[in-house]
Amino acid sequence: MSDQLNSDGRLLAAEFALGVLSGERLRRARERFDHDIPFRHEVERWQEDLSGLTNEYEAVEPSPSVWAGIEQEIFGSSQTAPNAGLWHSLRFWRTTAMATSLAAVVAAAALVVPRLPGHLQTNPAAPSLIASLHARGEAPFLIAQFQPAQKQLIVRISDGGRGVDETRVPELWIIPGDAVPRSLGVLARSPENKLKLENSALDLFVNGATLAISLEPEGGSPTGAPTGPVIASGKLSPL
Amino acid sequence: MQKPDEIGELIAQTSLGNRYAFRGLYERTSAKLLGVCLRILSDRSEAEEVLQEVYVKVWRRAGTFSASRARGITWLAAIARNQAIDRLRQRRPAAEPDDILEDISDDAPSPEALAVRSDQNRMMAACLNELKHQHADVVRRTYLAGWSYQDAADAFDVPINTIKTWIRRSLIALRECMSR
Repeated sequence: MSDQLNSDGRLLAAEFALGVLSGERLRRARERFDHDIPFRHEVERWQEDLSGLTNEYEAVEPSPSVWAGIEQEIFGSSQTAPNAGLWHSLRFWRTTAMATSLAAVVAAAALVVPRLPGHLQTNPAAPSLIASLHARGEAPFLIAQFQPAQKQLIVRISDGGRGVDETRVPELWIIPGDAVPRSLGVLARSPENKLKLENSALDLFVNGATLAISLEPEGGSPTGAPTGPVIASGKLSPL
Repeated sequence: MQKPDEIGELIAQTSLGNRYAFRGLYERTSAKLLGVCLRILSDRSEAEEVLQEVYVKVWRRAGTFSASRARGITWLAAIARNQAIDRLRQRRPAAEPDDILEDISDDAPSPEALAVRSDQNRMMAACLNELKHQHADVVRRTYLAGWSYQDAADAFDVPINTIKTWIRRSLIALRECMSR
């Protein structure tokens, strides 16, 4: 690529990356950076080479007003909390690295819960059950409470549940003793989700059943089984 | 093997519009980038103004970051340097920098002080060592402070054509050394 540049171009790229240019020569270099791909790549190569020197810059904590100003300018208002919560950390988003494999979750589910016999009538005196969902090794960030009398599952996100990666949606699954995940639906992006449960689903909510969240395309899994990484899971237990 | 580039991943997530990754990116990198702006501009409130401009640019340009061509922190530092240097040029077109260096041969740091994070950077440190000692220092100080040729000429108290020659020859020698 950079052999498309003559020696003048290579030198200009180096000077631009170094930061010594000013006036007309700087203007020319900037323009060239925007439109001339080989030139840009040469500049980037120099920036990478010189970047070892950036270690000498000291770190200085900015005032809180800087972030507030950034939010105001980009989003028009303050939307994100000042303190890093789970939603702000890379770990939540590095889904492939930290996602529990579905197989592992299913295997764990099968160990705990005996295989379900046929159809069970829902016992109106069935206990409320609760599960804390968390990523492997991380603190819980979702709490799910099964309320049999109301035939609903309430899911609360402990860090506020603001908008997430727009291209994927979190889908909730229950994995009972037969190890087949059943979808409980896509979670809305709010701090609390109240999921109404079909009668047939109520039987699945037993002590030890696993709940899991996977990231799916918009609209939920196209196949009826989890297709994306499982980012959190937990087991139901009595309140 | 290259260490995983967490900051690069955060930039990639930011390019998808992920505000939370963007916030995480800010938390991890803003102190370093403020350090860059402060070194170049010296003035705290101006440095923070520029820091804000930097992150707005990062948000808007995250899609142009390519993990195969740069590490995240390098990309960010380049944006911060360019933004701060821009502001510096506006403020003082013909610069009179604070530190006039009379004897530049003694107070340069040892080569070991140039911390290295990769083979590439190790090569740069080694190649800088190959330059005449005072020229390595010229390149290093000029880079860190964001000096223009005129600023550097003033700082080292030499004519501008001399500094241009020193720096251009150094850049050519560095490139030749690193291509070996």
